[in-house]
Amino acid sequence: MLTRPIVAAALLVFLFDFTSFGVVLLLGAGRFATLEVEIYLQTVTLFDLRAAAVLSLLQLLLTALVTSAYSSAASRYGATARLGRAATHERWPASGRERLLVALTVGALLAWLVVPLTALALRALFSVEDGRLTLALFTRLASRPRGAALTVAPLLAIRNSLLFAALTAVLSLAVGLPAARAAIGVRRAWLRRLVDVAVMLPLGTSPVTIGFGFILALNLPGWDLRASPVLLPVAHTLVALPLVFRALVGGLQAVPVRLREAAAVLGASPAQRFIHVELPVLGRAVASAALFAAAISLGEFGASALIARPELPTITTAIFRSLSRPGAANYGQGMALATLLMLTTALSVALIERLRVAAARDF
Amino acid sequence: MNGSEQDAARRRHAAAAADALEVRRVAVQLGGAAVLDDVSLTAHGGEIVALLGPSGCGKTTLLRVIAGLQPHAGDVLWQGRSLAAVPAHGRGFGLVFQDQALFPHLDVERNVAFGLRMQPRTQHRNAAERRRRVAELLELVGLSGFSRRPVDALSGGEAQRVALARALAPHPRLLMLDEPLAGLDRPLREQLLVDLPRILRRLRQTALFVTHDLEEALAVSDRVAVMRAGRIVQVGTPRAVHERPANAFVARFLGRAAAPGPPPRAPPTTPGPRSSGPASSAAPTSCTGRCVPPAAGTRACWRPRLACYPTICPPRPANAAPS
Ligand SMILES: Nc1ncnc2c1ncn2[C@@H]1O[C@H](COP(=O)(O)OP(=O)(O)O)[C@@H](O)[C@H]1O
Ligand SMILES: [Mg+2]
Repeated sequence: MLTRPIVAAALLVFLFDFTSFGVVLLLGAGRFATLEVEIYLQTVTLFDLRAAAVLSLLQLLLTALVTSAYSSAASRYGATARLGRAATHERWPASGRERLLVALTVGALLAWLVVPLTALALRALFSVEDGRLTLALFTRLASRPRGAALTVAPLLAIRNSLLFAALTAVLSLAVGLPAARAAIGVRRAWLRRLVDVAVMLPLGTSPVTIGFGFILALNLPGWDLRASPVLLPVAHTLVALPLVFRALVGGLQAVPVRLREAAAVLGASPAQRFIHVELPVLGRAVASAALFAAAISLGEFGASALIARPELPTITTAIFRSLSRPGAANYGQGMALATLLMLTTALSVALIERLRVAAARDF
Repeated sequence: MNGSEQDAARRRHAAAAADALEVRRVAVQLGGAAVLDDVSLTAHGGEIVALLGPSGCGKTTLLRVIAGLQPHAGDVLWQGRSLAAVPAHGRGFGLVFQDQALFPHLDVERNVAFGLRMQPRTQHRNAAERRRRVAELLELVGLSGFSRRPVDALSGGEAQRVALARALAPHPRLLMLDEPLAGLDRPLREQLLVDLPRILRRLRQTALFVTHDLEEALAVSDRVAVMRAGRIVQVGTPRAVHERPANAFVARFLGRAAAPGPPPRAPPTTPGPRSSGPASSAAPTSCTGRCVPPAAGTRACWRPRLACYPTICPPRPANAAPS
């Protein structure tokens, strides 16, 4: 009974890992280059666009295969339809053995996640020289120290990231809402499936490939869009879209058909039904999808690494630049920025979770 | 009853002779099975017609067809005009769903006002007018003071009344009620069984009342259409259906032995004997919810299946004012 969901989950993990970039770039140190890192290096350092393009195509092909496999596994399980009702199945572990199992799982997850993150925060909070607790690294974010890797004050990177995140949230709703509505409203099953795969494709396509594609496609003669600051939120929207889309489709499917019919009989046209019934009932789902998009934009690195302009760095590109240059000042900046990023992201995830639980309670 | 309501009722009454629903040879296939098969039915203005049949016989589907929510073969007409090209939101009908389907994001007042906001008529253009109309309806269903309540804080009976008020607010030409009393506990059901026909008659509301319960059909309606497996097997006044079941199925369903008496006057699937006058005198023989409780107490009126009818429910005087 659980085989399909497990297969679907495994495929999803494969997709994420297949396209993971930042971790490999930092940890691999040139010894373990994946397709992703290879594309990035070919583009940025060697500037061999042809090699990068071939690698991107290879990746696209593989991910399209895995995505469609995931889509069919997940849809047959009906994963999206049941998302909203998950809360009703939650319960406390009953027996001692169950409790032990849950404790072990949670413990392992905590160790895995929290240890590196705590180490990071400690590094940022305690001075490297004398080991005292200090906020110096954070107060120094407002200025650009001498010899710094960044061309602007790190605080500006935070402002940029927040701005891009807000834009990404708006853009992904503007694209995601109509797409989700269409994916549900369309009668023909094959067409629905097509919309599904089309919107889900960016999930498997790596952000680096997306960024690379933007660089290639938007090099229009006479009007070089690559220089536009809007490019980054657009790329982030593409990265966030599959997840936003999934969340919105799940929410829309959870709006009882009866409510739409009741509104129709009371004289509401399809547009009025969408505005006065579906959107408000969806309210929390929409809000959490927007936050989700913003969180993805905040933490996004792959596409940003290729697209972000040096004078408009995001938090992640600033971290990368700081860490890849020598010097204690750079290192400290990287730590402080990373800690701030972590806090912001944790905050949005907590908010999303609250909204999700509240939304599930609505039905 | 206040002035505007009386006006509305009078206007409706004047148009009563012309107002008419006609369902003509409707058929619906769902999942390869015939859910409705050649169903024909009429309702005069101001008339309350009960659709009576066992669970799964297609009553809800028929209401959905009439409301415009269900694709179908055949035709639905209002005042002789086909509604084939009119979508659900253009029909001006009201439907009280079996599960109420109140909007969870709106309070009681906004639920009731929803139809007024969606089809802004001149008289409900501004918010004050709408509030007045909502207050009027909440009073009608006995829920004054509930305006600000969230709908998930309502009991089953209260939710049912809010759903009724919501459907009535935009002055529907036809009101459809899908098993409005099912799932309520007994005292509440008995209360609503008295209130509901009283409200509908006061408004001279044309209505279709779906039920699988014989007592309800007899208590509420002017005419009863008995359904079985997607077909209408008998139409007639409650008394006619009760006294002369058209066939063994109806008789069994009514809880009686097969009719030994005279053969039914109306053949299956054709409307029963029609009366000539408008609603208030349309069905002089029907039990219209003014069922007088016997000395033993209110409950005795409903509990013994059929026992109270027709002995306890007296024929209504031809020109009695709706209570
Ligand atoms: N969407 C559907 N697909 C297939 N069969 C359906 C569907 N909806 C209803 N039915 C079937 O149609 C029949 C009539 O349903 P319904 O109109 O709800 O009956 P009632 O309201 O009289 O209980 C039932 O047998 C039911 O199983
Ligand atoms: Mg039903």
